[in-house]
Amino acid sequence: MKTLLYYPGCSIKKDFTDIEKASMSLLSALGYTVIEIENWYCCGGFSSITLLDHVKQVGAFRTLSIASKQSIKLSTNTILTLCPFCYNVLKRASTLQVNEPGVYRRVAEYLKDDVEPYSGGLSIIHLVELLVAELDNLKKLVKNSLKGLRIAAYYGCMLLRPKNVAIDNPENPLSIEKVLEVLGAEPVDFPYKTYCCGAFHTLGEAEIVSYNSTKIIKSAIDAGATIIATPCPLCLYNLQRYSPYVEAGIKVLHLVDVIAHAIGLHSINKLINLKINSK
Amino acid sequence: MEVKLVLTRTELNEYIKEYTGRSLSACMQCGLCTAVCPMSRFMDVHPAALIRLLQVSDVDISKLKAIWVCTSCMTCVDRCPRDVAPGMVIETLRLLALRRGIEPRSYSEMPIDINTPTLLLVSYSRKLTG
Repeated sequence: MKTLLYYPGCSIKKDFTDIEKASMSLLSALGYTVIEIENWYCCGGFSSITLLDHVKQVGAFRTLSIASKQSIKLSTNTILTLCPFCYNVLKRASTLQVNEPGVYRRVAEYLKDDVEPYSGGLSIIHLVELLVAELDNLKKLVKNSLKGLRIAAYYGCMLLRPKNVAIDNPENPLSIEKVLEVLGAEPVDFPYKTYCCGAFHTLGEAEIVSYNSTKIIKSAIDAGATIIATPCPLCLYNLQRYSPYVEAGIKVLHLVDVIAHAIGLHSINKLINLKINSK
Repeated sequence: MEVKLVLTRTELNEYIKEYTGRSLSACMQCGLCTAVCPMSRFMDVHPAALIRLLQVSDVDISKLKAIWVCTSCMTCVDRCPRDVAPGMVIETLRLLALRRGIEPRSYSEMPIDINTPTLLLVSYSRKLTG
């Protein structure tokens, strides 16, 4: 049995509970024991990208310190994330000591009465990375092959940039395509798979999100896709909400929903109104 | 105390050096950042022009709309051939503005409903309210 520490994050815990549930079943079927970090803090969504913005490191730093202690008890060194934002922030915080020692020292000093400084040793991974390492085992779990479905993998930003935290080649990632292939689907290549959907502008300048999301979806349609699968909750929300093309037939789904259907956890037939042949 | 919104070219260059560790003078105006920017069409001053502006002139940071449009997708930061990292420069200007009390929008104007994901609220707050 392989043990993983698990960092859920806000949206998976509150808005996408079905994704969390399906992910846990998937991981259990792959032979993993998943244990939630006992006292995790909000990652804040965006890491600090300048050198003088220490407050944005505090939540992640605290979480890593706590997880570090728990990891020794559980004899694991891996933290699993389901949300690309959480992945990005935690991964960057975990490399702070090496990449930005000055920032690391100041954050550690600020938190010194609170937690012991995180001193490395944890590996932060995203679900997609784990699945790519488990392709053979994932293949064995497939009950409803997605044969005949043309699916576009949309990555968004947070799993790929900045390049020093990327889970794959940031210019042409293929991780999700590998997963889709194992499920029997036909991955569709399209040029906007790493293009920003507009992110938080939904709350202020929705026309930005509408413009970019529409561009992404149109490009996937032109490439022949009938489904777009994304691992990011915010991309999912934006793409589903802001493109008229979604009304016209293409479906935007969370990657975990697609996998859950293929391995028989729950059906996406209702979500996609398509008949999928069983194997 | 009066808040200083117009920053001189020298002040701006020093701030940017301090906040990003990069140098504006390395920019050769190749324009790649603007070309790859998914937000440039919504900006009043596109990334490459903004770097040029900061190289040559004093700037009133309260008048720049572009700094609120950037989503920190990091495409320009990864691809800049001179390591100027325009995304980090924009983040610096955003922080300088926020730390002088300029906020582009108030919470009361936001279209929040029961379906608004928490992640959206959190990321919005991080970028537009400091």
